[in-house]
Amino acid sequence: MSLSELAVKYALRLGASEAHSVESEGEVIRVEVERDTISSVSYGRSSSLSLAVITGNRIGFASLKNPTEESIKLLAERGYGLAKALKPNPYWKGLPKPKPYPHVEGLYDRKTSELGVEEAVELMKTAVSIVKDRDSRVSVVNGTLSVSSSNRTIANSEGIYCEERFTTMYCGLLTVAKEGGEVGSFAYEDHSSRRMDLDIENLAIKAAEKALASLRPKTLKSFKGTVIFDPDVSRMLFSALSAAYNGLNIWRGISPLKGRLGEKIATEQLTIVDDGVRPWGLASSKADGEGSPRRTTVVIEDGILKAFINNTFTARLLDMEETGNAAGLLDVAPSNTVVKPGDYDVEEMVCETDVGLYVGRLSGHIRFEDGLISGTAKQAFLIKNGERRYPVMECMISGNLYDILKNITGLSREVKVKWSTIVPTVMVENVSIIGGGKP
Amino acid sequence: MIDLLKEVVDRGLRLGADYVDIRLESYEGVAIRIRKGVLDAAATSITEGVGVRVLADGSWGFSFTEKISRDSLYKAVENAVKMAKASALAKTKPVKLAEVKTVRDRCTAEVKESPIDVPTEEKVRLAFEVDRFLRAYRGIREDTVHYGDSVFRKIFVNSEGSEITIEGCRVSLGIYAVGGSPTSPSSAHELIGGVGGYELVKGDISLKTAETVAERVIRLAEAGIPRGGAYTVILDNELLGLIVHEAFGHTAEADMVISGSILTGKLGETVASELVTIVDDPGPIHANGWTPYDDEGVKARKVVIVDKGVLREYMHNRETAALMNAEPAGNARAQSYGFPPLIRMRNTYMEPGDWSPEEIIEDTREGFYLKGGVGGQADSNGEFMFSVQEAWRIENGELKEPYRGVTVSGNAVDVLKSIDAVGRDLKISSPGTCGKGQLVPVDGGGPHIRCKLIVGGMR
Repeated sequence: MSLSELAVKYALRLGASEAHSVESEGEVIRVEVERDTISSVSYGRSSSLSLAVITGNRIGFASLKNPTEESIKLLAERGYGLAKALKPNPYWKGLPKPKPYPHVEGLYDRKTSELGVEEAVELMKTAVSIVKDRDSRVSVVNGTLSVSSSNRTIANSEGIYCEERFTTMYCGLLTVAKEGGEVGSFAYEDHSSRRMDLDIENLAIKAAEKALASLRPKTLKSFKGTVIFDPDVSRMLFSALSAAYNGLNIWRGISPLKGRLGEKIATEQLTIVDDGVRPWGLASSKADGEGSPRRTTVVIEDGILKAFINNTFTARLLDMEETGNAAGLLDVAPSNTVVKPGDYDVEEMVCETDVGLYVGRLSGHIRFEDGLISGTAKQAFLIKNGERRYPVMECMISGNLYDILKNITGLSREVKVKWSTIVPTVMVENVSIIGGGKP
Repeated sequence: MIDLLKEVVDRGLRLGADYVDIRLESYEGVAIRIRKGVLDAAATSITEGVGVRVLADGSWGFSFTEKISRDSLYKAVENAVKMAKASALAKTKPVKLAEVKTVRDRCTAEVKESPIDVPTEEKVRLAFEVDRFLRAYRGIREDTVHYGDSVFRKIFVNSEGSEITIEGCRVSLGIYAVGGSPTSPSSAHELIGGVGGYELVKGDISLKTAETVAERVIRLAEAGIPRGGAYTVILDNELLGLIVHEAFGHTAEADMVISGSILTGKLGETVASELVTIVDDPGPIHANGWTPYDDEGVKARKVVIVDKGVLREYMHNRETAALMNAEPAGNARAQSYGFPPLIRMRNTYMEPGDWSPEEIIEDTREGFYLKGGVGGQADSNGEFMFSVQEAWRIENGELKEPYRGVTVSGNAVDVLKSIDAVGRDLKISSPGTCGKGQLVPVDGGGPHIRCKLIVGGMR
C-alpha cells in the first residue's frame, strides 16, 4: 500500500468522514549562471505528503516532508485535530468519485531524467559562449537550466488512486546589453518542455539579439494605434483571461464573465482550449489535483464564451461540469491554455501596420477583475508605414483586456510554448500608448 | 544536531572541498483562509531540510535533502562536491571569498506570544471577526482574509568554525476586498505582520486595517481615472518603499552592478537629491527582512547605499565583496535550505527628513498625492512602473477628489534626483516579499516625499 493510501486509511481510522492525500517525491539538477559564468550547480531530493482530513464539512490540511509510515500517523492526527478546531464549510459537498483516466502521451521522458550534471553544465557553458560570441556588448545577467523528475500519487477515501511520473526541463537566460555608459533593457528568452528538446544555440542567439535590439531607445509621444503582442506578452493576456473563466472566481462573483456563457466576448478569430491531455504539455497529466481525470475543454470558440473551468467543488456549486481543473480540493487552475493559431506571418502583421508598436515584453500586470492593463512596454519597437523603426522607452500600454479581445485583428500561424500557455503573436487595433513626454 | 552538521562539514573537507557550509532549517506553521464568508480550509505544515554548499576546485556546488540522517547528509555533501567539480569544468576564474569573522552565536527574534501557544480556534475567531467586519459594509461584495504563521529555526555551520542558530517566527494577516459594480469593480488589500508573534496581528490593528481596506474599496468605486502625464507627486511611505526597493535597491546589488546596472561604476557620484539617504538595514526588530546573520554566516550591519545623494556602497555576498574589494554586510540570503544564497536586500528604506506630511501637501500647488503600491516591475536601467492603490489630486495645498487605476513610471535615478521635500514620518511597511528567482521576506519604506514622475491613467 502506498503512503498516500495509508495516510487516507489512518485519517478514516481516527474518525474522519473523508480523506484525500497526495504524495510526491522528486529530484532536481539546477545549473545557475550569473554574470556570464556558471555560479552554482545544485542537486536535491525532496519528498512530501499532504493530507486533507474532513470531518463534518470541516477541512483540515496537514503536510510534512520526508514521509514515513510512522510520521504520517502523526500527520493524520494533526490534520484531524486541526479539522476539529475549525468551523464547517457549508458549501462542501464531498470528494470526487473515481472516473477512468485518459492516456496522456509524453509526461515522462527517460532520457531527460537521466541527464548528467556534466552535460547540463556543458549546455549552459555553451549558452554563455554563444551569447558572448554574438556580441561582446551583451552579458548574461543570470540563467538557469533545471531538469527534474518526479512521482506523484493521489488517493482518496472514495476510491480514487492515481500514480504518475513526470519530467520537466527549463532553460531561461536574462541578458542585457551595454554600450558606452548606457545600459539597455533586460531581455529574456526561455524554453520549457517535458523532454530535452532544447535548441541551446537558437535560445542563446535570441537572448543576445533581443538585448542588443533594445539599445539606443527613443521616447515616444502618446498615440493610438496597432499593437503587436509577442507571445511573451500575449500569454499574459490569456493567463489573465483564464482567471476570468475560472469557476471559482465565477462562483465568488468577482469575474466579469459571470452569467455570460453563450455571449460573444471576443473577435471571431479567437478560440481557446484548456487542454489537460495535450501530448508533452507541461500542465498535462492523467489526474488533476483532486484526482479527477484531465480532459479538453473548449472555453472560447470563434469568440463565443462556451465554458468555465471547474473542479468538483465549484462544479457542484455552479451546477456545471467538472473539467479536470482542480488545483487541490478547493482551488481551480487552468491546465494547458491553448490559443488556436491564425494565418498571419509576424512580418505580415508589421507590413500591415501604419503606426504601431511591437511589444516584446510587458513589465506590469493585467487585472482580470476589471481587465485593467498597467504596464510598460519593454523590448518594444515603433512601427511606421509597415516597417520596424527603432526601440522605444518609457512607454506605457493603456488598455483593457476585454476591449482588446474584441479588437484582435490577427493571430500568427506560429505559436510558442510559454510553459503551460501555447499562444500566437497577437495583433490588436486601437490601443492607447502613453509616451514619456509631457501631456 | 550541531555535532552531526560539523561531522558533515568535515566530511566535505576530506572529499576535497576548500570550504563547506551547511544550513539546517525547520518551519512549522498554520494557514487559515476565509472566502465567501466561510472558512474554506486551514492547513498546518512542517518543513525541514538541509542545504550543503561547498567550494571545490574554485567552484560552488550545492545539494539539499529533506531526510535528516547521517547517511543522507553524507550523501548530500558528496553530491555537493560532485556538483562543484562538474561546475569547475566550466569555470574560468576561481571563486574567492572575502574574509569574515568566525562566529558562535544564538539569536532569537522578539516574540511575545508564540503562535504555537495560541489555539487554532482563536486564530479562526480573529479571521472571522475581520471577515464579518468587512461584510458589514454595504459596498463590499467579496473578501478574502488570510492568516498565516511560521515558527522557524535555522542552524548554520561552516568549515571556518562558525556556528549560528537563529530562531524566530513570522505572522501575517492579509485582507483583500472587492466592491463597486460587477462591470466596474474596485479592490484593495493590506497585509500586516512581520517577525514576531501573534501580538503583531491580534486586537485593534486587524480591524483598523480592515477599515482602511473597506473604506478604500468604497472610495475607489466612485473614483475617476486621471489624465496621464508628468506631474509633481507626493508619495506615501509604502509607495516610496516600493520604488526604493524595486527600482533603486536592486540596481545596487553587487551581482546586478557587475552585470551592468544604472549604478555600475558610480560609487562616489551623485545619484539622488542631497535630501536623500537610503539604507538597507538588517533590522528593525519586527521588520520582515530581519536578518541578524545572513545565510553565509556573516554578521549583518546596515548598508548606507546613498548618503545625502551620493552613492556610497553596494550590497555584497562574500564572493562579490572579494571581487570588488568591499566588506560584506550580510546580504547573502536564500529562500530556504533548498537554494544557495543570492545577494538580497533586507529592509530597505529612505531616512526621514524634516517636513511633516501635511506641510508637504500644503506646500504643493498642483499635483497628485499617491498612496500604496499594488505591484509592478523595474529594470536594470532603473526604469520602473508601479500601480498605485489610490490617488488624490492636489490643488493649492489641498487634497481634492480621489482617483483610481493610477500607475507611475519613470527612472529611479531621475525620480530620486527630483526629490525636494522629505518627511519626518519614517514608516516601514510590513511584511513584504521579494522575488529574484527565489522568494525572501523583505521590507521597504521611508517617509512621505515629493518628487516628479510620470502618472498614467489606465482605462
